[in-house]
Amino acid sequence: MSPAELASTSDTLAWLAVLSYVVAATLFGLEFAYGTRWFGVAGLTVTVAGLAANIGAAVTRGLAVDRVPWGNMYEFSIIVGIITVAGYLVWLRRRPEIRPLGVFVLLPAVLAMALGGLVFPVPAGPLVPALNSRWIVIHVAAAITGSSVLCLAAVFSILYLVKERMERRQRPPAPPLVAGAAKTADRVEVDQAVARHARVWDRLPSADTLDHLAYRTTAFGFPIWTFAIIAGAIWAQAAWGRYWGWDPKETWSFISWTVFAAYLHARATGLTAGEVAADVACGTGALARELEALAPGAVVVGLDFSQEMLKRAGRGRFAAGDALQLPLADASVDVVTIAFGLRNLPEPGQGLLEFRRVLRPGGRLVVCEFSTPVVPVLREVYGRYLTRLMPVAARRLTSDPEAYQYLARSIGAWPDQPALARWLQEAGFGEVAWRNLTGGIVALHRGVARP
Amino acid sequence: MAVELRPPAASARRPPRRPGLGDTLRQAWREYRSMRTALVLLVVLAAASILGSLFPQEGLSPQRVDQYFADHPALAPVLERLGLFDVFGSAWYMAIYLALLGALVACLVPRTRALYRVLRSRPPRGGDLARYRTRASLQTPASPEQAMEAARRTLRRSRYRLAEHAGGELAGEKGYLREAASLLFHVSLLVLLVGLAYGKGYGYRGQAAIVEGETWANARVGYDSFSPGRFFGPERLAPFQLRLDDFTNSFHPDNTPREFASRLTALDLDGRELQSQRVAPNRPMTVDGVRIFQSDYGYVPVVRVQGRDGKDLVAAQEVLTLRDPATEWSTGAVRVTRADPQVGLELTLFTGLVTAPDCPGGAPFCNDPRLVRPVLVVLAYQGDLQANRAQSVFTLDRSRLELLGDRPLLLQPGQSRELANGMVVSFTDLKQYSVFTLARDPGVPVVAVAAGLLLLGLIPSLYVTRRRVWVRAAPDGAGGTRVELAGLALQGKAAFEQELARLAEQVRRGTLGPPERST
Repeated sequence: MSPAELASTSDTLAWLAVLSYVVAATLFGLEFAYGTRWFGVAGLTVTVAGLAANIGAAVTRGLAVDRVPWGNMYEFSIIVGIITVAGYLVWLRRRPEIRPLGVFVLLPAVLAMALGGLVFPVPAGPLVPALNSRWIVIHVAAAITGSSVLCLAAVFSILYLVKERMERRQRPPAPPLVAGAAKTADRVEVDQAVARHARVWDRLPSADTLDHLAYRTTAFGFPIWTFAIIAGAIWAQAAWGRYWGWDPKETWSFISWTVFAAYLHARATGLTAGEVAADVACGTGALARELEALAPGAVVVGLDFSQEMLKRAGRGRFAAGDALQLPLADASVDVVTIAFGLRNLPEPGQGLLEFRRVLRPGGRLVVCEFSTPVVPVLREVYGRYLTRLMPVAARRLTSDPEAYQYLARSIGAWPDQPALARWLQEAGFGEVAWRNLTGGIVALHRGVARP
Repeated sequence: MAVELRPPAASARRPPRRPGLGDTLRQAWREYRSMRTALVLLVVLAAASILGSLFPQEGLSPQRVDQYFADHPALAPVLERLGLFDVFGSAWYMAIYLALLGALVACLVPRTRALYRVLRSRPPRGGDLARYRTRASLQTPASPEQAMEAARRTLRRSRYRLAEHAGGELAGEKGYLREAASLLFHVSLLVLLVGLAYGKGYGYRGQAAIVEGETWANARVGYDSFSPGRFFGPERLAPFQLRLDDFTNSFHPDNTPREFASRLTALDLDGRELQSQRVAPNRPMTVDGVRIFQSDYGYVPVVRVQGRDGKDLVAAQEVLTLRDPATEWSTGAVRVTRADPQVGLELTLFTGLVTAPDCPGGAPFCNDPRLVRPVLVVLAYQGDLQANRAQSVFTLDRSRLELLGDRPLLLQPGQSRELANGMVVSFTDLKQYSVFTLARDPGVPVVAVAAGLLLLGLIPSLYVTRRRVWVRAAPDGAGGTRVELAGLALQGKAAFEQELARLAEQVRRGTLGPPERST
């Protein structure tokens, strides 16, 4: 075939690929909406055919122009299509449950290719001299691979956010505070809408799986993207004598690099899937629910000695438990949290030893408690508020002024940040540190259980 | 567990020590070096960079900045004051990345110290192995000593660092590479930025045009544009000269440029040849630490103008013309200030003039980019050239000029034509000029090495995991031995469970037969 025939074959194949991807995305969408397996299998078949056409388009284009087929934005978009779809298929082999994600993976691939074809159509041709470099071949190959992989990672991350929100909403709502409150007609309608919604989103893999996929894909794509930026800088140095000049492509490659770096830093902290956390003195379970939302896949148990509080916490993993005698086996949890509870224990020291008992070696303890403001002026003002203003206000405004007097007294008697840190150390916790909130009115202490 | 802890009542009687200024500062420092600060600064840096791509940037496209000023006369000065036309050079952008770098240093120092301490100390005791989440155990007929020896062998083969503790406990730890590589990555990032700043401060960039056959001296006056770094003194310009021996360019069949290249010779100030090289896009030449890049080219028609009496009004002048890269035709101007009234010539040089009907789209004329049939089209004007006013050398200011004659003159090289006022214009020769970018960036080697190390550190810092293993063996009461393994992985907990199971299996096999060489 002559170069011209090859070029037109390539264009035809590229459009065939786009068409197949659109059809496949529709089929995956139907599977996603109606849960019919047949649609998914058909979608997969059409995707594979589309990928074959896509690869054919790249190969014929390369033969037509007698060079690597990634010299301009149009060719770039064709290869992005190949790598994104191929990456999805590779994941699919290892994790068959992600098949319904096809629609979300194919749409950006189709978008990239259609954009390439409509906005930057470049007829098959040679490159301008400045692009004639070995480094540009390496750079663009890395940039295409990196951006396709990170595109997949972004899809997984977005779906994770959606699914995670759905999972949180699906959790049984707390029972009405006033017993016997009838459901109004509105309420019933809303519930049905939520349920209908939930059925569709149920077909997504669990938030846990999506989070794992997103992290693994990002960790794979990030070094490639870093290398692509470096290779591009080497080429720019050879072509123009400046390796970095903040042109739009350089700027955006840097922005996306920064964003993914932030993602990796954010992932390096916090509770992870499979760990067990106990929220002691959980009250109505607000913190426990937050923790559960932070780490899908983690098991969070809320414990409180007040049955009344637990009743209000609703269903979920809540149990009665005295902080000084936790209903947990030795070394059975990875994280213990206690918010505004330690101060109220008859023996806080015994409480800390009890937390240390139930924690596995390396497990973390986080204590959130009132503390001492670090700025002298704030300390003074806050001290007066606690001892003078609050009791008076409480007498006037509340039905239980005694409780507020207790609050003021117990906060005043409570050790400051370094003293509490020492308590943690004495109770067998290492790496003890604290962080002040609101200038030290409240402090977060953390420690790691020593073996 | 009888650990004596003060009850809170005790501290109520003796007021707790009030945190002072030192505590506040220490707290602020801790906050500054925390992961959260780094995270916030990274996101702020990304957001600030987005601003740099939303507004036209002075360093990148000054024309678009001027256009923005024309389009938004009220808003533009405010944006300029905020530094939005030079985001990446602005004080606030610098403040963000310096804050990030400071946080990075503040975070790296204790991390390096901690890693050093860990490497100096022995893997710690495990204590009660039953307390760990990841555990494995095995029975073997071998004696406890043999079993422990097998465990030692297995862990050593898996490159665990080992320590023996009291009570026959074996502790092993590996995966320090993760933290070391992460430190390498972050230190490289710092070094890279230092190299970048150093190169920018002590380097320079400039552009110079050299006509075929001529020699150019590397001095500030020789540059058409010159942007030095903050600490660059002109005396630092390397003492050399450049001679353009030859320039060639070629085109693809579809008339898009294929290549253009200059044969350049570098000479010292006494005219001795230092080196000679073909300079083309992506093929720079390096002289004395200065990199010379092929960046553009153009044509230089040689034009001579004689009066009616035959005397030279303009003796053979090399006219630098401006090439339009799309059409490959070039424009320039000749000013005959000695004529009265003054005469100005507007020149258009075609490399290969083609007239209708051979032009695409029915255009009356077009140009073949190859130098096949050069034609100089001359349009003459007379009047006041206003030569004292600053104006472009490539065009005439026609505000006080009127057209001389009713048609343009067409000249081929070697031809002469008479203007309407009797003056004679000759197109005596055609040369080419070549434009070079000269750049010196002493930071490049630093940046290159740092970028390499950064990449080297990145992958292990994402994929290596730090983990500890503890092993104990005791008689099982039936003549054999029961071996307990427990482990703790800081990352990759799921994969570690399989690893520990594998290690246990290897230990078991190790107790049975002779030690295996491979696994």
